[in-house]
Amino acid sequence: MSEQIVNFEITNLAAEVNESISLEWQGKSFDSGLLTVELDDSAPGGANQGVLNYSQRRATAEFHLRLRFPEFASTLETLGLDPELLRPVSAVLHSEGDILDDHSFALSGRCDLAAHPLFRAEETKASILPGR
Amino acid sequence: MPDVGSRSGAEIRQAVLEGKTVSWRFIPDQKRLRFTLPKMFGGRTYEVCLKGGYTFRPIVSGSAAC
Repeated sequence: MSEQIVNFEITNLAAEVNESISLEWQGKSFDSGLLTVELDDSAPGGANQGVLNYSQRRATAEFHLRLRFPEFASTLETLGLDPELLRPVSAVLHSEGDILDDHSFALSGRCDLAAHPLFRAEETKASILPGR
Repeated sequence: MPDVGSRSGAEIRQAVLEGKTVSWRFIPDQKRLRFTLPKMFGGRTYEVCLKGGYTFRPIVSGSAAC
């Protein structure tokens, strides 16, 4: 392996959002509850990989993700919504950013969302903001 | 940030070069996710924090998972 270029596999990502997100549904407002983000292990080979370029101090990574609102989905299910409509939102995060001195990353980038019956890709947007 | 205790950036880089798996955690109070809901759910945009992390495993020649 070159000491300047390192290819890597993303073997795990698990995150959650605890902040309140207000979702409107049929004239009513609901608290989304937890939003979870996890790595899509069913992504095809070659997905969930990236490159560390130490000579340029840059990292790129493509995360295949699933986003879920488990509590909101449960609420909608109790209201009689078809569970198929409540499946996770699949997304591909194309991220890149600097490799920082402590070897954290300032990764950011946009997500491409897959087709979903409720979270339609032409209206739903997601991106990761720069940070560490 | 790296989830490796007190190791320095240089030590983490060395671990990566040796093919060792390394994990990072999101700083929990940084707004890292921007999310816009579809119109049917109100269409609002939120910037929220992520709690959790991710793990990279270097692909060493001859053991690539491609």
